[in-house]
Amino acid sequence: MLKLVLLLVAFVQTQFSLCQLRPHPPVPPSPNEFTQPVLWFRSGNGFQISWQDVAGRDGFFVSVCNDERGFLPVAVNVSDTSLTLQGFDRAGDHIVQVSAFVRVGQNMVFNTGALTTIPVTPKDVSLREEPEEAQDVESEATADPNPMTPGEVTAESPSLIEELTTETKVVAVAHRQTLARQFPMLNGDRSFYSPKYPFVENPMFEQAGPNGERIPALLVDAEIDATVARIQARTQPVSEGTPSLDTNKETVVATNLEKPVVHQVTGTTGSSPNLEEKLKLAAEIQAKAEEKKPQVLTPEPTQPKVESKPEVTPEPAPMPRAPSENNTLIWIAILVLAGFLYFIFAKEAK
Amino acid sequence: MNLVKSMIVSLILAAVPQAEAVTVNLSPGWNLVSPVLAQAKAVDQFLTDHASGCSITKIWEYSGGWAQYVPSGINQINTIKPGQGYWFLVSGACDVTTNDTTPGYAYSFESSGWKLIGSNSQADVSIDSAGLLNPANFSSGDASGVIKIWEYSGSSGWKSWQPSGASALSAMRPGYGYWMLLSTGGISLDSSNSSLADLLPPVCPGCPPIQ
Repeated sequence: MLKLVLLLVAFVQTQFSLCQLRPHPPVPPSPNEFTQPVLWFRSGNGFQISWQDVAGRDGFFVSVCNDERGFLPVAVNVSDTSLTLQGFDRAGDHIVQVSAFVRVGQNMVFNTGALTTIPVTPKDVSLREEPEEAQDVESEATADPNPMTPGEVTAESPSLIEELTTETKVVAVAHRQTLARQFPMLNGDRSFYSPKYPFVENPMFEQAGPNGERIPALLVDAEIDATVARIQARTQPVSEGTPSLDTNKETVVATNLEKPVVHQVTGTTGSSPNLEEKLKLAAEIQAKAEEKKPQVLTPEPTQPKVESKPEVTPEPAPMPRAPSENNTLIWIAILVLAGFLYFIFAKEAK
Repeated sequence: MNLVKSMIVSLILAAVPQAEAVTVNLSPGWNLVSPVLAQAKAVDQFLTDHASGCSITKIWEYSGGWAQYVPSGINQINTIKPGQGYWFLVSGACDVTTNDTTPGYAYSFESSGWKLIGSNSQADVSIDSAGLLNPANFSSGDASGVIKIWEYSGSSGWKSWQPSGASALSAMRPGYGYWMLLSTGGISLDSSNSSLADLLPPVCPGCPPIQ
């Protein structure tokens, strides 16, 4: 009986610590931190997420966690500030992390990123995860505009990051294992990533590799200088504004106002918006959405082989989730467990 | 009489904080430092006064975004501030030495996220409820908001502290910079907030508290 109880406790603990982040501190010249949370709303059979633009970035990296594999990349080089996630392989809460990155030489330097949680229902589940051995090139095209089989590109390809630019705006979450193979060890914790030396977390000094080989300091001052000069040379200033939600295209809008289940790390350049501001923003977006009639969802011209549905069936608009909803669920689970334990021990005592 | 005089002088000397030289040895390459200073100093002046033997390639400051200083070139930092951490990139081994009397650390963090800081103290500051995380130090927020602290040294790499479990890092050393990760904003920490009662032994049960 005691074993059963211990197993139950271990199970509960595992479920709540699956997506725990252990972020590494930033290194220069990381992009500015986000000061606004990631927003999401339902879009057809998926979720559109959008986030704030930040200064000093080359692109955005999006990863998702919903199981023991932790955060796995779903899009490595997003140039826009929004992305539609679809093709889920299982229901349940999915924690999405968006990080901005800048390329320094052949490496990536990230900011801390921002998180949100999307509630995937069984209705949203449309794809089963592909087996490890069999890779479906067509399905990869759904996840990426530049389809490539794992054999074509290795993590050591110098231009891999640029080749994987995600212009499509739609990615299939179920296929994230493919991208994870191309970018081994790239997860939400990293502040630095070298495709050539994916195991190097600290690029500041020379070190020995797993086979005893000498790895030079990967963050080189000359490359930082070149990166800073390249970013500064951009003529278009980046406006660090509110994440935009394109309400013209969608029929239903719901924003996620809650704090994510895991610890949310936001930026330091300014104070995070308070709850009142978030509610105001959500109310404005909701009002805009209600003004719009359900419209036909037309595919983007640059979209790859994504099966576009000609018409989107309006779904009832979910209410913005209460800030403490997830915490409440955790407490309910704990209370149920405590009740169960009390029942067992009371019975034993009798 | 002389004995009494000398005792009084000794007591006064013990009570008045003495300036102690704090030296940080920089290794060639990147170094995370936080000079112990009584007040902010212009970068050029700081380098002349405290790091004259160093061949500085670059200095980086972080406050949500990066600002840099390049000798005879870019200067987005302007001053070296007490309690602020910096990345110093040097081409050869050298020392940064300060000799200021400082009031210790005083931080006010409006937002969550990473903070690059230093203890601004002449002695080690332990990362526990008797040192940095002493509840008396918090004028707003509390220790639960501090979820990670990292130290970097060119010779030994990274060491970290976390609230639970074993930590390789247990104290903030004078002159070194630290990455602190906060889960919430609105945290104000001031080492001078610690009350006299913290320095005295606990009172007996039932006795009035020491004011």
